[in-house]
Amino acid sequence: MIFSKRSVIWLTLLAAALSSLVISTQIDGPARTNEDRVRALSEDFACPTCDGQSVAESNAVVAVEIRRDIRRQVDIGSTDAEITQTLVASYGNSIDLRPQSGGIVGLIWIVPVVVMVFGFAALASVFRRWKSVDVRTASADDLALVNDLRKGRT
Amino acid sequence: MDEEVELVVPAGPSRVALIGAAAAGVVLVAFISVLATSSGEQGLGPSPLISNEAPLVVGESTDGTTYDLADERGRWVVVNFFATTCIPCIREHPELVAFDETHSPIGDASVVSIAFSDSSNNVREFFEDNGGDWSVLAEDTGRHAISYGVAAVPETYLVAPNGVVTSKFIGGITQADIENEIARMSGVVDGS
Repeated sequence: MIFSKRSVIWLTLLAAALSSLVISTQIDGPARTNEDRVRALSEDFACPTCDGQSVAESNAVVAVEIRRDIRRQVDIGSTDAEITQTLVASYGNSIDLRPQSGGIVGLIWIVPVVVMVFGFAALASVFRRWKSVDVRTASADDLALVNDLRKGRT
Repeated sequence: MDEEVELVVPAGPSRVALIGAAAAGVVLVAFISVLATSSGEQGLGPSPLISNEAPLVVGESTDGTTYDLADERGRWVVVNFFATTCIPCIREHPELVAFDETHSPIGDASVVSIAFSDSSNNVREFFEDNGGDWSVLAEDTGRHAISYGVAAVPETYLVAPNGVVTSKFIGGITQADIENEIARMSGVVDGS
């Protein structure tokens, strides 16, 4: 048999976790109103003149105008991706607060996961090696030798 | 018999401590001075629009005519975002007037002003008081400001005769700033 029973259980659990993750990103939530979309999108963009505030949180003039523009675009039927694209085209990538999936930012997300996977693999390998160390039991001759030595010492 | 008394004189601050305190004081004063005199980011700034076609600017000017940036192809256009309550905008206005008066008769460059979060009445009044005979958009201008990536007024974009954005000015500008930038970019942009 290629896999042990324990390996099959772990692989099944891993597959179930990955499937849940994929499904959860694909399933649509409850229908969102335009108001919900405007609010959610406003939280995804940085106010260009504020330190650390999103467009949703800020009352700066530009944040108010960006919220108004998002609402206008939502009302005419633009998708979230299209709205993001227009704002990034005007203000640059720094306006998008969501984690990027490509480039160096993508690496920042991927590298820890890869390191963790390799770490677990290394630990598993070490534990397996420890476990496979040949444990020998003392033979009758060994015990007799030890007893003789003890008697001689006393 | 007199008892001998030992006088203990408290030690004063060492020379090193005095020099350190003086240095810290100088740094603090310099820091406060820089903060007090700083007027924010100024001059040419980065923009994703540079080297790309200028976003559309179409709308009703305060004089009732329809303005379309696309009609300005063949000459430089100074796209100025401003507000009537903004002090640097008020300061730069005479510079824009001077630029327009120099270039309008020749026809090689024009100015368009776009009010940012302001009222039409205020804008009309502002131009009546301060001069400026060019197209001014004052209504429904938020979308223009957002499409140009305006963060705070005044901001000015230079559009080449071929319709491409060449430069972004952050803060107030002078006629010389615009002239110099046009001269600098003329050799770079095709069709200028």
